Amino acid sequence: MKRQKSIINYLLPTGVFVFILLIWQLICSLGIVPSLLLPSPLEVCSALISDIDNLSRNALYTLSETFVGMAISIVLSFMLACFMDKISLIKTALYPLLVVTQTIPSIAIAPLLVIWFGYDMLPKIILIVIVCFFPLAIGFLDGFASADEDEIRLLRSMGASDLQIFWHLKLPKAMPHFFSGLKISSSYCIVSAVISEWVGGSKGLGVYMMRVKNNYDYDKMFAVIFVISALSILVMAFISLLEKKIMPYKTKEENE
Amino acid sequence: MTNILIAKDITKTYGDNLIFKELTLELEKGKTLALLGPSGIGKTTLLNILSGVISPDSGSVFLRNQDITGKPGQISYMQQRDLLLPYYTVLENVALPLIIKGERKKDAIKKVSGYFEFFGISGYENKYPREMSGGMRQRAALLRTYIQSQDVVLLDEPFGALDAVTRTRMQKWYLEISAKLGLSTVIITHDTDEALILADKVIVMQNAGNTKVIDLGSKPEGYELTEDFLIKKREILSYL
Repeated sequence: MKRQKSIINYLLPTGVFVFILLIWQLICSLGIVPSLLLPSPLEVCSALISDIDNLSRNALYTLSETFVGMAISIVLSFMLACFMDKISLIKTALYPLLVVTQTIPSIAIAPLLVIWFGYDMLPKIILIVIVCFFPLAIGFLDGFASADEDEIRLLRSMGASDLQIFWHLKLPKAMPHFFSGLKISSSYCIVSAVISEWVGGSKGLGVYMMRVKNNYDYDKMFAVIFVISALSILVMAFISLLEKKIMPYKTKEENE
Repeated sequence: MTNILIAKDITKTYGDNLIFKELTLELEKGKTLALLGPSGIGKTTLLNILSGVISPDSGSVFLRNQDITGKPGQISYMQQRDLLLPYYTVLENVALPLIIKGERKKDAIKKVSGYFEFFGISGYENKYPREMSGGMRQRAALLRTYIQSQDVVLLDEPFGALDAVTRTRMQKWYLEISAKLGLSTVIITHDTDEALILADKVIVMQNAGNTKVIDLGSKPEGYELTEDFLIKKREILSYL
């Protein structure tokens, strides 16, 4: 029964996706919309295959920016959350600022960052850090705070030090919150990298996108959109895999 | 009989609120002491003081004649909720007190795995707490408590969250293992029957640390069906 349900859960969205592709192909083949404006799925596939080298090179560059940005975000948000958890005054002072950083639209500050930090990887990484930092820091903070007084008292009665309480209680408690934050930020950060490349740069999927747009190569435009989506899904899948490895008990909970 | 645990002249206040004034409590080796009293009277505070998690304003706690006042880690403490950590396996949960004391995880796990059969939770070693029933979880939590300090345990309503049938089973089971292991126990309960079944001595806590002590003496088989049980119950209730 469970297996049957999981097959349906898998097949149903795949079927809908294939159906949409077929309708799209039909609209293009019948000439309802000119192919200059809307290339057919087959044309997009052909563009993807013919320009795969170029696309892969740029995708690799964008992915590198994303991973470096995410790694820096994780380290910085972890450090800040630790300080904020330990010293409540820091939490009171910085929490509103963290919320404010989320109200700044990334698309608005991307050009500024390019002006200040040039056309290389740095402004892109900074933008990713700004975008990812908030959900990650809040995830850590909420997770640390989810250790309740009884649990802390239990560990204290065992003679645990502050560091041991952090290691055996607060850190594992923060993991589900951290992964929720990481999943949210991962979807933001590839888009942020691409936006940042739009406004200035020499490599990456954003630069590629602007180039093909200026050449009216809409089939390649669709191909790069497909690559960006695929990359986002891949990063999400990687995070889910990591989550299952780090929190095997969570997988058992979900299976029940 | 030697007293294994003594709390002497304990005074504790929270702001202007006096919880105890010069309260003294003695626990004999291998015996069970039940603390009864209305909510908010300070039973849990007393257990926190005995376990060293909080310090009294004055007075001292002695374990085997050693002053352990305000020193956590000497006596183990089990609260009403089992508090098994959901991300650790049952084996890791039980070994946690030893790991915190500085033993290597591998050695700690090896040391505790031998007790699983005795505590009736054999086969659950590599399961997560979520996969156990309420009664089994309490057994695991009790084993963790035992692992920490071996012979002296503090229990704060350990069976309070269980259904009536499981609770009766657990009380019976606790009597058996505590006799076999020679446990010395201080137990908080709200249930007069439970206090009479499990304890050798019942302390009824009243305002500002005033206490009434009821010594239950030797209890025959099927004590809960005897007239003496009812007499003692009436006496306890008259103090509450």
